[in-house]
Amino acid sequence: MDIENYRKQCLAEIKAERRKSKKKVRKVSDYDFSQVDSEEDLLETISEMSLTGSDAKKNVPILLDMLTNSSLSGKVRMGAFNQLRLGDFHPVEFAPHKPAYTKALREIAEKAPKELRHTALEQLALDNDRYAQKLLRDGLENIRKPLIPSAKAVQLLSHDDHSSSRKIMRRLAKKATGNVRAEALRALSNDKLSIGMLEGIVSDKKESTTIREIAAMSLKNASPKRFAKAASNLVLDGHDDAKLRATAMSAITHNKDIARIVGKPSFIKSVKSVGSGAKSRLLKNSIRQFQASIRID
Amino acid sequence: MNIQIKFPKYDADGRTFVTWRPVEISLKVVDVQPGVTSIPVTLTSRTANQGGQLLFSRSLTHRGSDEISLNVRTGGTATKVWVGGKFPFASFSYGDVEIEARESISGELLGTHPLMVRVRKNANQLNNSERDRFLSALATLNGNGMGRFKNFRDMHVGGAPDIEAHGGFGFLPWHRIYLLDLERELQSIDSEVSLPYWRFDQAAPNLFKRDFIGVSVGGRVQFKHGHPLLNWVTDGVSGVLRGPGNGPNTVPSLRNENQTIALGGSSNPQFTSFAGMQGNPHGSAHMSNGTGWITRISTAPKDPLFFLLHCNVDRLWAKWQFVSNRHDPAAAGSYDQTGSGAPGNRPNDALWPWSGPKTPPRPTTAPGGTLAASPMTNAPGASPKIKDVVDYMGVVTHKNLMFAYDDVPFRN
Amino acid sequence: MTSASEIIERIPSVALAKGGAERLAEMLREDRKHFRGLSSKDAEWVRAHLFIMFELVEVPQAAIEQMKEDLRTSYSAPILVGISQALRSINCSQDEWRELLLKAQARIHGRDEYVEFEFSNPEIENGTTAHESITKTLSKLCPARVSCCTNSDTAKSSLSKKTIKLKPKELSEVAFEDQDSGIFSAAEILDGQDCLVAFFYTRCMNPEKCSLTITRLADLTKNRHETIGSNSLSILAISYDPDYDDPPELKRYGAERGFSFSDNCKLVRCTKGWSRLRRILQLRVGYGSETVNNHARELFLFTRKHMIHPLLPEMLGSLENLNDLTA
Repeated sequence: MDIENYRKQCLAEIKAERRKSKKKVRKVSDYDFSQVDSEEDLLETISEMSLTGSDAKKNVPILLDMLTNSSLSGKVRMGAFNQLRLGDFHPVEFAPHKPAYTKALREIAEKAPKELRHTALEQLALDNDRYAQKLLRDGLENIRKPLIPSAKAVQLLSHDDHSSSRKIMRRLAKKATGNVRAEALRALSNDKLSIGMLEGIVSDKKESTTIREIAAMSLKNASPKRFAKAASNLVLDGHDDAKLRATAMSAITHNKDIARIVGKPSFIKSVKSVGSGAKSRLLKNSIRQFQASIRID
Repeated sequence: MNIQIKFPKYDADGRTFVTWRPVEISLKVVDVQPGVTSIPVTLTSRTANQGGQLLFSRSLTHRGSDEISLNVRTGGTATKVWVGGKFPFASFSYGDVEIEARESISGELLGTHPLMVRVRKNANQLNNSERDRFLSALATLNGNGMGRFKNFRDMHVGGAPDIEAHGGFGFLPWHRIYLLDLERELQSIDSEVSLPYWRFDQAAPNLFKRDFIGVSVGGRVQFKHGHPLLNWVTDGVSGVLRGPGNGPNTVPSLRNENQTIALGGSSNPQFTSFAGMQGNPHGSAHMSNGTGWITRISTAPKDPLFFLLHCNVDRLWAKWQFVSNRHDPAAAGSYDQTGSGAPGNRPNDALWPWSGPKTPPRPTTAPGGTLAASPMTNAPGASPKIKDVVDYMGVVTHKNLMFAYDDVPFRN
Repeated sequence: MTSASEIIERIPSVALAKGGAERLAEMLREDRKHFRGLSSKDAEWVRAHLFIMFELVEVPQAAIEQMKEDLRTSYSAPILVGISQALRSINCSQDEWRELLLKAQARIHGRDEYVEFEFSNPEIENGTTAHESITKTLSKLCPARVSCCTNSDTAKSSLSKKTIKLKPKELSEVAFEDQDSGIFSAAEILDGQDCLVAFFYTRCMNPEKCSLTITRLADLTKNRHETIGSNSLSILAISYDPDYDDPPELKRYGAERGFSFSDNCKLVRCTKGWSRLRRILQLRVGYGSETVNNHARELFLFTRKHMIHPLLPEMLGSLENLNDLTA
C-alpha cells in the first residue's frame, strides 16, 4: 500500500467528518431547558454538556438538579446521571463537585425509581461507600426492605474486602438458592473457614456444573493446595461433567503454583490418556493448552 | 557459500520481531570461496498462510520495496540493509514470513531467516489461534499474581496518584506505558502475543462473546466453560463485574475515529486539542458498558476489557500522530511544551510509578517496579519520561518502542 | 457485634462523664473491642465521631498524637472533618498544624464528601466537606500567616507507648514464616542484634500507611550499610493479616516496592503466637470479619539487650533519625 495515498485518504475522511459535524454543532451553554420541545431533544442536549474545564462549574449543578428532580422522567434523570458519571474520567476537574455528587447519589439510592436507584447504589458501592454498604447489608439481613435484588447486593458488597460482610456471605452460601447463592460463593474467595464447604460443593455431583465451577474458583483463591487436589481429581474423573473438567484443566494450566503441585509425571501421563480418549472438544482443547504450557516451561 | 542474516535483537529463544518500522539488519557471507570479494544478493520475503510481508530499503524509510539487490562483501564488514513489515500485511504467527537471500543471477538460495511482523490488531478480527493465545497469556499472567491488575489500592485513591494518570495531558503517555508494560509481560509468556484493541466505534460481535471477552448476565461476565479467564482474580476476588451495555451488535454512541482525530484541528493540529478525547470517546467508551468495574477509573483495570479499550485509545493517538505528522516530542504540536501542567504531566517528568517513589506533591509510594524490559529494544528505558513515549516508532528520535497498530503505518 | 450507630450513640455520655476526654482518647485505639467486626468504613465513621467530640471536651495529649497521625495518613473525609473541627477548640497556632492540614486537604481531593454526623449538637457543625472544614480551621488557626510553610512536621513529639523490657523467653512461643516460606522463631531473628520491626498488611487500602512503610523500609534495605554505618541491624516487617499474607503475597508486595530481601531483611507473617505478640506490643490493629478494619502505623526497635523501643513511624522517612537511633 502506498503510505502517502493512505494518509491522504485518511485526511480526506477526517475532513468530510469535520464538515458533517459542523452542521450539528449546538450551543449547549445557552440552552434554555424550559424551552425543550421533546424528551429526545433534552437527552441530546444533556449528552453534549461538557464536564471539562470551566464548563464543569456551570454544567454539574444543572445535571445534579436534574438527577434529583423527581418531577422529571426517569429517562431524563438517567441521561443526566450518565453524563455526570463521565466526571469520573476527569477526576481533577470533577473533584470539587464530588461531595455534591455523592450526596445526590445517596439521596436517590433510597428514593428514586428502580434503574436510578440500582445505578446509584452500584456507583456508591464501587467507591466502598459506607452509606451504600449499610443499605445493602440491611437489605440482606431483612433490617429494611431490599433496594436491589439480593444477588446484586451480594455482588456489590463483596467488591470491598473490608466491608465485613463475610458472615452474611457464609449464611447465604449455605441457605440461599440460585444467583444469590452463586454470588455468595464467589464472595467467599479467600475465606479460610469456607474451604471445607467449597471442597464439598466442588466434589458433589448433585450440584449444578455452574455452582461447582464457582465453588472451584473460590477454592482456588482460598486454598491453592486443596484446589490442586480437587482439580486433578476432576480432570481425571471420566464420569464427571466434561465442561467442569475443562475448567479445572484450564485453571491448572494458568496458575504456575497449582501446576507445580499437580504436575507430576504420573498426572501428566494420565492427562495425556484422558486427552486421547475425550469426546468433548472443550476438554480436549483445555488438555492441549495444558500440554503446550508444559512444553513452554 | 551462504548468507548469514542477523537482526539487531533476539529474544531468549533466538526469535526476532519487527513492526512496520524497519530495523537495520546485517548480511555476512559465510563459507567464502577463495578469490570472491562480493556476491550479488537479492533479498525478498516469503510468506506462508497469508501471513506477514516485508519491505527492504537502504535507509530508514517507509518507501521500501518488496525486494532489494545488493553486493554483499566477503570481507569482515557486514553489509547493512533495512527491513520492516509491509503495511498492512501483519503476521498471524511466528515464522509465517521469512527473509530469503538468493544469489541475484542464479537464484540460488543462500540464506533464510524466519521472523514475525508483530503488531496490535483489531480484537474483532483476530483469528481463533491469535485470540486463544492472547487469552491464555493474559490468564497466565493474572494466575501467577503478576501484571498491572494489582496495586489498584495505591493507584486510584484520589490525591496525588490520580493526578499522574488522569490529571491532564499526561493521560495519553501514562496509559501508553501502562499498556506497553502489560504487553511486554504478556510477550514474556508468549512472544507471539500483542495487545488487541477494541474498536469501540464499531460493533464487535466476535469480541463480546463467551469465548472471548465474555457476555454480561446480571452484571457478572460469563465465559464459556474451560475459558482461561474463568480463573480471573483481582484483589483476591474472582470474576468480572460488567454491565450489559455492549452486546455483539452494539455500536456505542460516542465520537467515531474520524471525529476523534478531527479534535486536534486541521491546519495546525495540536496535541493539546486532540487530548480532549479523554472525555469523549475515552470516557464514553468506558461508560458504554453501562455498569460495572470498567465504568469507574478506580476499578476499570480489574476488567480485562479495559486493556483492549485503552489499546484503542492509544491507537487513536497513534493514528492522529500519523495523519498530523506529530511524532517529534520536542515540537509544540506533539505535546504540551508549556511546562505549566500538573506535576507528572510535563514533558521532562518521569512517569510514575515506573520511576519509583516521588517527593510530594507527587506520590510517595510506587508499587509495581520499573517498566518491563523487552528483548527487542532498549527504548524507552526502565523509568521513561513523558517525552520518551511520544515518538513510539522512532520516526524522529529513532527510539523504537517496538509496538505498532495494524492500521497505522510507519512514515518518516 | 455492636453496630457503628450503637457505639456512636454512647460517645456523648462517655465524653461528658468525669475523665471523659481521656476515655475518648482511649477509645480511639484501633484494637479496642468496640471496633471488632466493623467494616473499615464503619470503623472510620466511629473514629470520626470520637474526634468531633473533642470540640466539646478538652483534648488530651494522647488524642493530639492521634490527630497528627490521622492528618498525615487519612483518606477519610469524616475523620478529617472531625479532626479539623476539634482543632478549633484548642489553642494551636503552630505551623505544624497548618502544614498537616494542608497536606490532608490535598490528599482528600477527589474523595471528599459532605459529612453529616449522627450527633445533633448545636456546637458541632454538620454537613460540611473536609475541604471546607479545613479551610475554615486554617483561617481560625493563624490567619495572618497563611503563606507560611515551615517544615516542622518531624514527628518528634512524645510517644504514646513506653519502652518494654522483654522477660526471658517471653517471645519463645512466637514463630514467623518469611517471603520464601522459611520458618524461624522470634529468637532466631531477634537475638544478638538490633532489629527494626514494622507492621503492615498487603490488603491495606491506604497507600500512606502500609505501602509507604514498605517503600521506606525498601529504601533502607537498599542503603542499609551507608545509613546504619557499622551497626548490625536487621529489618523485619510483620503482617497484620497472617491468614491472607502468605509467602507469595509477601514476596510480591515487597518486590513491587523494591524491598531487597536478605537473611536480615524480611517480610514475614506470624505463624505461632500472634495473639501473644499483639498483646506484648499492644498493637493498634482491629479486625472486621474479613481482614483488618483499622490500624495505626507501628514501628519498634528490638535491641539485643531485649528492650523494645516504640518509634514514631515518621522516623522511617528520615534516615538521619535512624542514624541517631542506632548510634
